[in-house]
Amino acid sequence: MTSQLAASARGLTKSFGRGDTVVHALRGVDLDLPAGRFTAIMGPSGSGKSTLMHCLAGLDQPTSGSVHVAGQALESLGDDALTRFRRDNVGFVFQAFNLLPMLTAEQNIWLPTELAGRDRDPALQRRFVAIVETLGLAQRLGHRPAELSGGQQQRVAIARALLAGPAIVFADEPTGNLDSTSSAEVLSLLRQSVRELGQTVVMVTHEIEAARYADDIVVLADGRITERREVAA
Amino acid sequence: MRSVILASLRTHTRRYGAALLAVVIGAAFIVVTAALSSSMREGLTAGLGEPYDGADAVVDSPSAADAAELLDAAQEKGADAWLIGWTMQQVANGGEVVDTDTDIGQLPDRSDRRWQELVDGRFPGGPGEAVVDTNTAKVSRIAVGDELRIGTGGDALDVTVVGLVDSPSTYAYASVYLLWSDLARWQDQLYVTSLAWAGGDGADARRAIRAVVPDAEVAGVDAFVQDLQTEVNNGVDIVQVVVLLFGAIALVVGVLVINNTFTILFAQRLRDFALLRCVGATRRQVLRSVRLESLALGVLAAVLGVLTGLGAGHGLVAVVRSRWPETRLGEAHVTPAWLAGAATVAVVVTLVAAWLPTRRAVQVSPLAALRPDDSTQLRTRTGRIRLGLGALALVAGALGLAAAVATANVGALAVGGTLVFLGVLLFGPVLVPALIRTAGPLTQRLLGPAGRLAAGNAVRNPRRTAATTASLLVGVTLTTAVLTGMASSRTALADEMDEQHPIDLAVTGTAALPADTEARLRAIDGIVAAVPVPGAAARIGDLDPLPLLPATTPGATDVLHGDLPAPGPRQVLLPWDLIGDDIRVGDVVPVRVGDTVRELRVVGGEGWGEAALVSRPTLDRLAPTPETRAVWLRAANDADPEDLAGSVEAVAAPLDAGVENGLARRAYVDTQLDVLTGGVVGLLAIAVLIALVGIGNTLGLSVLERGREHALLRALGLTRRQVRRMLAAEAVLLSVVATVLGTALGVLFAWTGVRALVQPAIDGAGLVLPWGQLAAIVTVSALAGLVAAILPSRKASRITPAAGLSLD
Repeated sequence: MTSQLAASARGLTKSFGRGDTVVHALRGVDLDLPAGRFTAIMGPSGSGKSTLMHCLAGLDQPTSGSVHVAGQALESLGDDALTRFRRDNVGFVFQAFNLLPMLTAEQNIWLPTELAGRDRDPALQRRFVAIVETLGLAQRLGHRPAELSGGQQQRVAIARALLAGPAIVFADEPTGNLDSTSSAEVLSLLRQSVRELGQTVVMVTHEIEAARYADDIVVLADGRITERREVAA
Repeated sequence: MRSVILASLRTHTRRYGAALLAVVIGAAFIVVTAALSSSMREGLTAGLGEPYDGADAVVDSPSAADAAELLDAAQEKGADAWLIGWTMQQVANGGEVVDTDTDIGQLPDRSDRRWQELVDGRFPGGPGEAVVDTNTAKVSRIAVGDELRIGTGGDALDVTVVGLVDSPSTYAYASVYLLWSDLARWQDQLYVTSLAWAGGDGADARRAIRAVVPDAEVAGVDAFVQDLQTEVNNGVDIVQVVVLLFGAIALVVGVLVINNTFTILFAQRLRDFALLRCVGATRRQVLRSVRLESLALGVLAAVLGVLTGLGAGHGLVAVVRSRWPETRLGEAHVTPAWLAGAATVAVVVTLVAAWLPTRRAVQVSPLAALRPDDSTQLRTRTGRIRLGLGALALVAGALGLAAAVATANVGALAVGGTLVFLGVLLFGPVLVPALIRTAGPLTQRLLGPAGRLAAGNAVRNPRRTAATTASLLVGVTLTTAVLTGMASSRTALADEMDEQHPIDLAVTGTAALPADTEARLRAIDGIVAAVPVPGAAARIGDLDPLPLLPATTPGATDVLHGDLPAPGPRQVLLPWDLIGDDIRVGDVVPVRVGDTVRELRVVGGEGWGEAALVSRPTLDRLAPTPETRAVWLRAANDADPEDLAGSVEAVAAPLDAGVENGLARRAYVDTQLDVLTGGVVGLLAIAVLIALVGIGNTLGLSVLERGREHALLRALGLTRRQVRRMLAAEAVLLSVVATVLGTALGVLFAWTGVRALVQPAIDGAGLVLPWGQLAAIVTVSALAGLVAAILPSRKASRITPAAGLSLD
């Protein structure tokens, strides 16, 4: 069973502040995320869904509880090791500020590879070409983020997340800043990557429209998981 | 609007910190200058009149001969006279040379005329006794009872120190005081500033003096002291103006730094301004609120700067006075006018620096401000105007520099240099990023992706980059120009010194030197070559017997630096200090050795000691069997002139031989140049310091701006260390590029300076690059860049990926 899990969390709690002003963002979350599936984490704002994602992705340290990603216990890693683990195993797509403004689309896509100090071997080159083809970015590689539309920017971010073949891709409200056409396009691409490339994708969203593209939906309220269901195909 | 101003000051004060620091340093510098110059003034003018107490008239700068005559005449007429002046002589204490150039002054004969204050021991009772200044005694470790040997050769005088004195007047102070009976032996080497005459009332005294020296410049005591006071004040004023010039440079750099800070801060707050406009603030209201904000900042900086300056200035004076009493500084008094001046400058500088950014900030329409800020496009109208002006300044400046080289005109040099510099500054937004891009591949190779990101970040906002580097450019350009100019002048001067002081040490005796003298001198540690010079004792005109030496001696090239002057067949070369009223240049005088006489024409010169030089055939004719009268020595390059003089003196003194110390004269000139260079570079360091504050500031503000980006990079796999490296690399890139550009400009200016100013004065002066110093400048600025990056990069690397991404 464990081998088919991309990530799992046990007894996860996260509190901010202390004393009277303490805020419990997560109050004991147990969650298994199976590999090769598209999971949507839903909930109203303030439900703790972004915090959950940050903890699962190793961007933030939980107050207590444990997180395993790709078989690795994150709480045992120091900051540097965690950073290295992230760049090898986790991909990200955020709502905004996804790309570095001074780099071109192509440079942005290659950035994690470069940060990891990995060679651009022929296999990776082929994967790059394939991903860029699939996402329809071939004509846009030389452009800087300011010269791209919102949808195009998110596609570049998806390409960047997919290139290294991470164990899991986290998407935080990836359609929050997009019009409906672009949203549909981005969500289809995410689903396509799960179906065709076997990628594991976890998406945080508060839009039910967006969650429909997922395989599983996890609903969070007030720091606890209140519902978990499969989306009917 | 008041609530808005107060709130924004509260919120943004910390971001203004660096700008504040820049102004504070500038204002403090002015106050420190005032404190130092006031203490210098106090020290120099204190007791200025005391040496003239009891006098009825003062003779202003009489010649040494006139002064001697007046001293004699006073005694005959029952009046009283004493002189304020010095002769510079070597002083040895128990065989060890204390100083090759010590000022020896006169102690008035009558005890009620003695303006020196006895601190220890007693005043001399007769010849062979001396009093020493307490500070000199402390520094040179001289105590009552010590035996000093003053001067060298036949004129050398052995005295016992019988007392220590304080000098109430810095202006008249000497290190050692002798009675006239002892001092008179050096009367032809005496420099006299003034002579005090007591006897009869003012008119009588004047008449009595005029009777001895008809063209003497006689003044009343009060008038003379007042003139002296004015003279000293003017001297201090000049020093003050020069130092303040560096303060002005520092403040110009400060303006650049603050201007940049405001530009960045306003860019970051554009949304705030737009929001204010949207909720109903008029453009004027926003403008006023921002102006008031900068005014408040300026006032705060002024207060802090003045307080810091007062503390630093008084502290510095106190430390110098207690540690180095020989500097004779007085109490520091900073007048309210200075404080007000420094405070005003601080406020004005802040307002001026904030003016343009403020205008730019409020000109943006509310809607435009709500859109994200694009980086500056250079092909805008202002960009084109800026580049056009830059080109114009460069061309005009180049013409000015060319004119300076052609006409040796200082004004053209200054104007041309300023224009070229201005042109480079205007071209900054194009030039600096281009240079950084050139250096980019190097940082990428060294630091990998962090290096490439750093190079990219450094050129993101060309105008901001240019403004940041401009401030450092000012300091580096000036420092390089000064160092290169000094190195070039030093080389040219060294050649000149070789001509003036061709011999390191010359031991010269009127009597023949014993045969082993050369060997004993050669054995001294630090002597690398010795040449015995044959000669004969000669009487020249009415002068005392003097050794007559040949201008050319076999083997002399081993010890000579330059060439000795070559006397013609009918000429005799005499040292300048022997030429005076009795014997003048151009006179034809009898030169007598034993019974042989020749009539020779007198030519002046120096550098070979107390001797006369003739051509070898002339010497052969006058003295067919010369004996060794002098030994010329060459010192090792690293020899200490004072130590060596002591060792040589130990050999020469028993032989009654004089020692000419060319080495000490060279060392003196070297020290002067070192002090000058050190002083200028030290003063420029203030400007460089402010510039580095500016780099740290720009970086710190950029870090705030790029919070999300850094968070994203951390999420994508940049380690904390890489983030720190990235920012450090950016700072180093900025500072090194500014330094390289500044060095290039500085060398250019130094070259034109040497061509225009040094070459006309010293033949054959060329540009000499002080490679070591230039390399040190680049290294220091790279390190300083690293230091400037410490705080911002710590701050940036502390952002956790999640926190950064949820930033608003």
